[in-house]
Amino acid sequence: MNEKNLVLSVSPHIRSEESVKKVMWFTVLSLAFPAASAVYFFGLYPLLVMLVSAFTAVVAECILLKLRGRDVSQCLDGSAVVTGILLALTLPPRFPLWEAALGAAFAIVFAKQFFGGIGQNIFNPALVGRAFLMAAFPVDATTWSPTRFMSPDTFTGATPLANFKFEKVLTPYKDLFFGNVAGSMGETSALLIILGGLVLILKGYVDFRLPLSYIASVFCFGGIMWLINPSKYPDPLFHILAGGLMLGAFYMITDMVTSPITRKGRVIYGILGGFLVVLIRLFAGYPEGVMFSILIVNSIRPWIDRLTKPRVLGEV
Amino acid sequence: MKNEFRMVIVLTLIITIAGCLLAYTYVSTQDDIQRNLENSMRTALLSVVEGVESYENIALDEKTSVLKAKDSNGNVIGYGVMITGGGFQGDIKLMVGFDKDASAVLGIEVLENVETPGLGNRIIEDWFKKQFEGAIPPIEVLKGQKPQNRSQIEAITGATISSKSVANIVNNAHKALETYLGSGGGGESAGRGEEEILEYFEKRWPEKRLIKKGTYYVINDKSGQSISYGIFSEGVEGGDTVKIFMTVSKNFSKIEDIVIMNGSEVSVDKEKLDELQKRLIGESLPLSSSNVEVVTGATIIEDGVVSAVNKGFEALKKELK
Amino acid sequence: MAQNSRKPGYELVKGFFKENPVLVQLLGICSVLAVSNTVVNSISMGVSVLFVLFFSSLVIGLIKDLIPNEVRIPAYIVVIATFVTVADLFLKAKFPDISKALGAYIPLIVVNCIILARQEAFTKKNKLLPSILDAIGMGTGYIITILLMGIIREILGFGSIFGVKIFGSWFKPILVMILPPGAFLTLAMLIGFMNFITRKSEEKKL
Repeated sequence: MNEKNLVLSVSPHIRSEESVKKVMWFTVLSLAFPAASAVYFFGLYPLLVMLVSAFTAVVAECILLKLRGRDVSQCLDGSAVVTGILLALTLPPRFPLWEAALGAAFAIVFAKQFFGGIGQNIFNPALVGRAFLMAAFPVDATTWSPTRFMSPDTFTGATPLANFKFEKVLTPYKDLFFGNVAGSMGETSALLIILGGLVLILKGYVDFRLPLSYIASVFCFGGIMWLINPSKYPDPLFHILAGGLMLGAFYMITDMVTSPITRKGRVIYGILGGFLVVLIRLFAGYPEGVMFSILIVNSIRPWIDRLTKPRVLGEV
Repeated sequence: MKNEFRMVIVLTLIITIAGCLLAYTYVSTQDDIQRNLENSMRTALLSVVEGVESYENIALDEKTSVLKAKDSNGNVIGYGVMITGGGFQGDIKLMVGFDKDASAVLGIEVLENVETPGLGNRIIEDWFKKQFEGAIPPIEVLKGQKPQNRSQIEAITGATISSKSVANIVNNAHKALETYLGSGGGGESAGRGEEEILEYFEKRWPEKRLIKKGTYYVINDKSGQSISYGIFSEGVEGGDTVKIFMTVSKNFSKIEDIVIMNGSEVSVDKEKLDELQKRLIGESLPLSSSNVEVVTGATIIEDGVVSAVNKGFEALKKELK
Repeated sequence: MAQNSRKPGYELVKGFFKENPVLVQLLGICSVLAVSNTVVNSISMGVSVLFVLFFSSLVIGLIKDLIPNEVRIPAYIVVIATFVTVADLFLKAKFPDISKALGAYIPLIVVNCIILARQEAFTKKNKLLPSILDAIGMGTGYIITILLMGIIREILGFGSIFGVKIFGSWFKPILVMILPPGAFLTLAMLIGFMNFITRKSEEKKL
C-alpha cells in the first residue's frame, strides 16, 4: 500500500494549514525569549548547552526512528529540537555539556520513542530528561551560578526558593521579575518567559487557560498558606515569580501531547498542577515543585480527558 | 477421614524435621552472630571514645543503647550512645561518644545511612564528623557560616537536611543519656541520682520541705510540722541491686510515695516500673510479697523492691522509735 | 507428557536463556531490582537463591509423592523457608557485611516467585533428576541475570567492579544507576534486549 494515499489518524479530522513541523519550529522561535534571558544573565555557555542538547536530541531521535523502522526524516520536524532546548533551559547555567547531551538522549529515547514516538508519550520528555539528570548527577544539577550582575563573593549558591525554604531569606520582586537571580538558565526571567508565552498564545498554539489556571492556582494556594502563617510561608507573588513556575506554565504544562484536549480539562489540569507545586514547595524535601507537579499531572491526563469528555448529543 | 489424618501426619513430620534442622543451624551460628554484633559495637565505640578496654551495654529502647565505656581498671571513662533516627532518605544510625560527665560530645561515627551519595552521604566524611568533637549539645546547624561556638556546626552544602538530621540525632542521644544517668542508672553517679530524686520531691510538693537528718529525711509541711519520713534504701535480689527512695507516713503504717531509682539498669521497662511504683503507694508496712499484687513483667525486681522497702522501714523505725 | 521425552541436558540449560526465570518468565524481579547495585551483592544474592532452589527442589522432589495434594503449598513453603533461614543464619554468622548489605532481601527469598513456581510447575510433576537439573538451571539463569545487572549498575554508578575502581579519576559516576530508578531502567533494557534476540532467532527459523 502506498503510504502517501491513505492517512490514518485519530479524530477530530480537521483540515488546516498547520502541521507538526510548523508548530514545532514556531515554538523553537518563541523559545528565543527565554534563551535570550539565559545568555543575557549567564553568558554564552548556556547557548552551547542548548545547541548540544538540541543536536543530541535530534540525533537520538533519528537513530531510534531508524531502529524502529520508521520514517527517519521525522526527526527534523522540530519536536526534538524543542525538547532539547527546553531541557537545557531547566539546567543550571554551568551544567556539563556531556551530561546535558546524555539527558537529552535519555529524554528522547525513553520518554518519547519508547512510548511510540511523537504524540504517544505520556510524560513531557524535557521534564523526564531533567528528572533523570537530577537523579544521575544530583550535585551538578543543583550547583548554581551568579548572574553577571551579582558579585561572586556574596553569592550564596542558592536559588531564591532554596534561600527562602532553608534560610528564610526573601529576594526582591524586581530581581525575580527581570531575572537577576540564580536558577536554571531559562527560568529566571519572568518577563521574557511571559513575552515568549504570549507569542505562542497569540498564534493560537497555546490555550491561555493552561498557564492562567496553573499560575492562578499557585497564587491562590500559596496565598492561603501565606495568610495562615505569613512568617513561615512566602507570599503568593513570590511563588509565581520565583523558581521555574513561569517556564513550566508557558512551555511545559502546555505541551500539546501531554495536556488535556478539552478546555474544562485544561483548567482542572492547571489547578491540580498548581496545588501540587505549592504542596511540594512548602512541605516536601525539595525547594522546587514545578517539575514534579507537571510530571504527576501528566500521569493523570488521560483520566481528566475522560472526565471532561463532552456529552454526545442525545446520549443519556 | 484417612486423608485428613495423613495431611496432619505429613505436615507434622515436615515441620518437626525442619524445626530440628533449624534449631541445629541456629545453635551452631549463634556464637558467630553474637561475636559479629559485639565486634561491630566495639569497633564503633572505639572510634568515638579513646582507651576503651571494656564496656557495658544497656538497651534503652529499640532505637537507643547506652554503652558505658570503661578503662582497664573498670572506671567509667565515657559513654557511647548507639542511636537510630530519621535522615533525609531513610534512617541514620550513629554511635555518639560522650565524656564521662555526659556534657560534651567526644565524636561521632556514622554506622548506617542511605543518604544521597555525593550529597547527604557526605556526613561520613571526616571533616563533617570532626565538627562534633568537643561539641556541646544542644547542637545547632549553620548554613554557609563558620561555627562561632562549641554548640554549632556547619552544614554540608546542598545537604542541609541530612546535616540537620545528624545534629538532631546527636541531641537526642544526649537527652537519652542524661535521662538515663539522671534516673540513677549511672551507678557510679548514684550521688547525682539522689540529688535529682530530692529535687523531684521538692518540685512535686513545693509546700513541703525535705530535711536531711543523717541517714534519713524528715518531710515538714509549711508550718514546720513533720508529716512524714523519707529514706533511701537498697534491696538485693537475684544479683540485682534495687535502689529506692520512699516516704512513709508518720506512724510508719504505710508507704506514701516511692521512686525506684535505678530502674533503667534492670531489665524491666519503664511502664511496668511506674505501675509497680503506683501499686506500692498506700501499701501498709511492713510489705509482704504476697500482699503486693504482681505486676507482669516486673516480677524480676519486685522481690528486690519489697526487700528494699522493708529494709528502709526497719531502718526508719530504728532511728525514730 | 512431552516433558518426559526431553533430554535431561535440556532441563539444565533451558534456565540459562530460553526460559530464563527473570528475563523471560519475569519472576523474582523485585530481588533482582533491589540488590543488584554492586557485583558482590549480586553474586551473594544469586548464590543464595541457587542454594535455596537446589535444596528445595531436592527435598520436595524426594517427598512429593508423600504429601497429600491439599497441603502441598504449606508443605513446600515450610521446606523453602527452612532453607532460606539456614542461608540467612549462615550469612549472618560468616559474612555479616554481606548480610547487612542484602538486608531484608534474604528472608524475602521465601516469597521469591521463582522457587515456588518451579516446584509447582516442574518438580511436582517430574522425576527427581530432571527436577534437580531444572533447579540448577533456573538458579544459574537467575545468577546470570542478576550478575549482568550488577556489573552494569556498578560500573556506571560507582565506576568499579567488586569494589575496585576501574576508571581513572576522570570518570563521573551516573548516580541514578545505583538507585532504584536505575535498576528499573537496566532491567527494562535487558528484557527488551532479550525479546529482541528471541524475535530475531525466531525469524531466522522461519
